Parts: sequence; structure tokens; C-alpha cells
Amino acid sequence: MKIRYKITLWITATGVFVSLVFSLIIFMEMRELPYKSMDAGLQAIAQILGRLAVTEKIASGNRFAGELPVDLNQYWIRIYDGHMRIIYQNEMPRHVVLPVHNRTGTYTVTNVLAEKSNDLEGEGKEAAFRVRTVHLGKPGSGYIIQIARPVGELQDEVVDLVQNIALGLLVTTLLLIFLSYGVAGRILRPIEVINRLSRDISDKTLDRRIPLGKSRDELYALSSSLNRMFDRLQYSFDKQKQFIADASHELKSPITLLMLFMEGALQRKDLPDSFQQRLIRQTNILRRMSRLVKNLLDLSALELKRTIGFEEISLPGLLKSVLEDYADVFAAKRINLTLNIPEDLEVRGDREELQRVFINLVDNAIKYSRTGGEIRIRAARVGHDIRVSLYNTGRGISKADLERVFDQFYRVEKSRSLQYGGSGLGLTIVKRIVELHSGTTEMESEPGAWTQITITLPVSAESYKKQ
Amino acid sequence: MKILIVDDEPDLIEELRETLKQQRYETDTAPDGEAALDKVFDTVYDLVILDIMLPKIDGLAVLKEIRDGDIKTPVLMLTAKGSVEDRITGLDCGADDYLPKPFAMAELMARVRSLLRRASEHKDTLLTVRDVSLDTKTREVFSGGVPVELTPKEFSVLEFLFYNKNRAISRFTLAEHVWGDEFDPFTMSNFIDVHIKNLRRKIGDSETKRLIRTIRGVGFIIEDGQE
Repeated sequence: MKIRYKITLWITATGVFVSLVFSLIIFMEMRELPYKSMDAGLQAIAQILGRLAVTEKIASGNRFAGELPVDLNQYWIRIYDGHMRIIYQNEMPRHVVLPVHNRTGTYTVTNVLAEKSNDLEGEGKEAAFRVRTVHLGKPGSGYIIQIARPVGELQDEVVDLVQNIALGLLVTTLLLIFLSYGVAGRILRPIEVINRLSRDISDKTLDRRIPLGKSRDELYALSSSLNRMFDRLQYSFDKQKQFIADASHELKSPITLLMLFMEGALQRKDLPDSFQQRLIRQTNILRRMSRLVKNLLDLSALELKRTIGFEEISLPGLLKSVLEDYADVFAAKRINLTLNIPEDLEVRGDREELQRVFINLVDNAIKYSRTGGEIRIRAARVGHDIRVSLYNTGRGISKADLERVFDQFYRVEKSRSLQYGGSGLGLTIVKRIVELHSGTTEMESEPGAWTQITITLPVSAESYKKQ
Repeated sequence: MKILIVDDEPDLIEELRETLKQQRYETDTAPDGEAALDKVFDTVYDLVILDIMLPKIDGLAVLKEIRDGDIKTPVLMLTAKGSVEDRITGLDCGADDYLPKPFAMAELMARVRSLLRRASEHKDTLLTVRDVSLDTKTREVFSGGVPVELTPKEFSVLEFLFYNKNRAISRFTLAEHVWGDEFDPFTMSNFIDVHIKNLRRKIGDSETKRLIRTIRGVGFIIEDGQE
């Protein structure tokens, strides 16, 4: 998951959690509030009723409107005397049986409405009542007042509250996602800049560095760490380059000398034949060594190479120029060459290096072809890639060897290296160059029948930048 | 003909000096860039063989100074680094030819002769051995006065043998010369015999009057008529 999404998620989750806690507190407070005021109302009415009972102003059926500031019909009222006799009840208890008890306190009961009453809508509907029981006077001689009120509207209010909170939470969450996505982008922007710069530096030139910001913050530390790493990289690259240059000089000069001596010796006509033969063998060994040194140094140079020149190259043109150099060889070995390349096929790459790839591949194909064999070269555009394959009939390579053909110094038949020459580095060089072009190299073979090498090179410039 | 050899490897200088002497060239040597510059501005040479890796002042700097000093002596660069970029740098600095180490003496001699010939502005680009002549400029070959059609590779082989008259040239050296150092000379040298066979047929080189002689195990040689 992209870090921007992660940051967005975390900020949003934190925000939603905080809002949730806040809403919960508000909800608890708000939910209690109407009950409290209702309880206070019930208590006040009960007090008044109690006073009236004491002054014996009430009796069953009495309507003492005017004494009270509320419409009693809204309430469920029952008054007992000290002997638990009902001395008063209003309209509602006749319709609604409430499972009330006589302990002092407040609680909520629910009951099914038995029949339709004037003030309560619905029949067979469940309704909740808030009940308050008040004792007045001494126990046994005083009065017990039970008063209840339907809490229908109150429940509606609570539902409203929940709905409002939920809506608020939804809006808050959306707002949080939106804002935190923006914030995450803002946080990550400098990191993106650093990333782009370091990629540029590692791809193109190790000479450049990431510019450091003014404030010494975490990004400053990151940039300077990266810069330090680039310094070290550049240092070791330069060291290795110098080493290769020195090694080239130090190795090639004595080889040159030996070669010159051998050549001179071979010009002599006064040497015994057997000695001459040994000299020839030594010369060939020396040549192999020279070739090996050259390839080894080439490979080291390629390993160091970070970038290559890119130009549009006509693939058929490049291949034909290579094949032209081999034309006599093909003729001499009576190899049947088939070429199947679209005329307008172009690759982007380094002309010199790609030429080396094809020289090595064609050389390889010729080396392992029998006289009168067949070499087929095919190239085509497949999607965003260009695929070039070289097929040659010949001894082929076993499955076990296939995995290792691109390894350094790997030769399928070590004993025949003298006959075939080669340094065992040709295919390693091919693979490395193709890798530098962001491509891939594959080899397939049918032992005793054929071998095919396929290289795939991306076409577009974008795919090169990606690496 | 006076040739200056600039290299920091005394053995290599000695070897080159010996061979050039045998070919009746006069030689002078310099072990580093500084000495080379002193000598170049002091004496007139016909050719400078210049190594790139030199103590004190490197070969490219020496070359630049020589050219800045308006000295047009042909320069043959020797170098251990063989990449095309290095060659281009060398040639851009004013080198006339470029030879990567390790090289074959035959290759060096062929290039020395070719450079000297070019510099002396002899219009005579015709090399002749017995009744076969070869024009290095027009790339025409005549056998007994009759023009012969050769493939570019066959021409290169013949030209190289002509340049190295009286020297045995190995298949390997021929392969390296004809195809260049990107190609694997082991593969190519296997096919040199085919080229020689075709060449012989085309220039009418028969058993009775062998021009290109095979030296068993070593390679081929073109000798003047005397032998």
C-alpha cells in the first residue's frame, strides 16, 4: 500500500475515533437530560398532589384543575392512603396497567396498551412510561403517590440525537479522509523530490547531489545521509575504474611483449620442428589468455557502467552489418542462414554495445553449429518489447547446463574450449549489456537438436527510465 | 625514416626498436611524456609511436601539445584501453591511427608502413609482388595485368600479407586484422584457410608458382620472387 494511503488511513482512523468518543460523551449527557427534567416535573406534580391529598381536597373522580399548572390527563396518577387503599386515580390507569411498585424512586416500565385511550395513540402498541413513586407523611399513615408519563416523545428525541450524531460523524469522516489525503501528499512531497533526485543520480551521474534544505529537519538528515552514500559509491566506483585502467595497462603490456616475442620466434626457420610445434601451442595459449583478459576487463567495465548512450538504431541494419562480416564464414561452413526481420524495426540503445551483443550471439551460434547446419534469426515487436531470437541447429545444451550458460567462465564442454576458443564470458557480456538496456536474455535448447537464444528489449523510452 | 617510440615499458621499447631496426628504420625512444615532448620539439621525426598511459604527462596530453605546436608528424597511438570511446578520443586529439594492446607486430608494421606511405604523399599506392599488384587506394588487384574481383575480406587478407612481405603471418593475426578485435579470432581463424584458398584461385596462384605459401602450423607468407 502506498504510504500516502497509509497516512490518510491513520489520520482518518484517529480522527474518527476521537469524534466517536466525543459524540458518545455528548450522547450520554443529552440522553439523560430530558429524563432529568421529566423526573423533576413528575416530582413537582407528585408534591402538589401529596399536599392536596393531605388537605383531603382530592377524592376519586375529583377534577382539581386549576390547582395544577399542567393537564393531568397527560399523566397516569394513582394515590394510596396509609392502608394501601386507592383514594384517587385519574383516567389513564383504567386503560393502562402498569407494573408499578411502591418503593420510592424513578424507573421506566413498558407495557402493551390494552385498548385505545384518549391520550395515547395506538392499540396493542408498546409504550414506555416514566414512573415516579413518592411517599408522603409517616409510613403507615401517609400517602403514596404514583405518577407516570409516557416517554414516547423522549424516545423520539433520542433517536433524533443518534441520527444527528451519526450524520455528523459521517461528514467528519469524509472531511477527514479528504483533508488527510491532502496533508499526506504535503508531508510526502519533499520525500518524493528526494526520491526522484536520488534515482536521477544513481541512473545518470554520480557527480550530482541532493540539495539540502535550510531547516535541519528529518528530511535534511535523510538527504545528507543519501549524499554521504553517493559520496562513498562514487569513491568506490572511481577506485574500481582506476583499478580496471591500471589492470588493463599492467596486464596488457606484458602480454604484448610475450606475443611479440612468440611471433618473432615463429618467424625463425632454424628451430627444430618439435620445438616449433610447442611454440605454436604456447602462442595459442597466450592468445587465449589475451582474449580472456580483454573480455574480463570489458565485463568489469560493463559492470561499472550505469548508463549507456541511447539512440534509435535500425535493427535490420545493425544485424546485417554484423552478418556481413560473417558472410564468408557462413559460406565456408555451408550454414543456411534465414533472416526474418521487419525492415522498419528500430531499437533504442547503444550501437556499439548492441553490436557486441549480436557479434557474440552470432559467433556463438556459428561455433556450435555443425557444417551444413541452420541458423535462423527472427526479430519482431511484441507489445512494448522487441524480441530477437537466434536459433541454430547443433548439439544443443542439456537442461542442467541451460541454467548456467550465462554464468561467468561457464562452458558447456570445458574440454573443448581449446577447439572452440572463447573465454566463457561471451554470454555473460551479452546478458549484462541486455540488462543495461533493461532487457532480458533467455536460452532454450533441445539437446542434440537445436539451441535458441532470445533477447527482449523494451521499445519505449519510458521503460528505460523506470529502472 | 626516423621513428620515435614513446612507452614506459623498457622491454616493449626494446622489442619495437629491434623489429623496426630490422626493417631499416631509424629509431629514437622516450620513456615518458615529458621526454617525448622535448624530443618531438627538438628533432624532426617521420612517425611517433605513442603509448597513452605514460608517467608525468599522459599520451593524450602529449598528443594535444604536439598538435598545438603545429607539428604534423603522423602519430600512432598505442593503448591498453580498447573501447571505441577511447579510440575516438585519441583520434579526435589528432592521432592518425590507433592500435589497442596487445597487438601483433605484423599489425603494427602494416600500420607504420601505411602511415609513412600516406605521410610521404607518394601517389604510388601500388604494392607489387611478382606479377600480382594491389592498389591500396582504389582497392584494385591485378594478376598478370588482369583485374581480379575480390571480396572485401579477401582484399584485406591480401593487403595485409603484402604489407608484411617476407613475414609469416598467423591465421590468428590475419583473423584479428580482418575482423577487428570485437570478433572472436578463434572462430574466425578457422575460416582463414577458406579465404586463402579462394584468394589463390582468383589470383591464379597455382602449385607451380606459389605466391601465398602455407607454413605448417604457423600461417601464411608472401615472399619476393628470389626464393
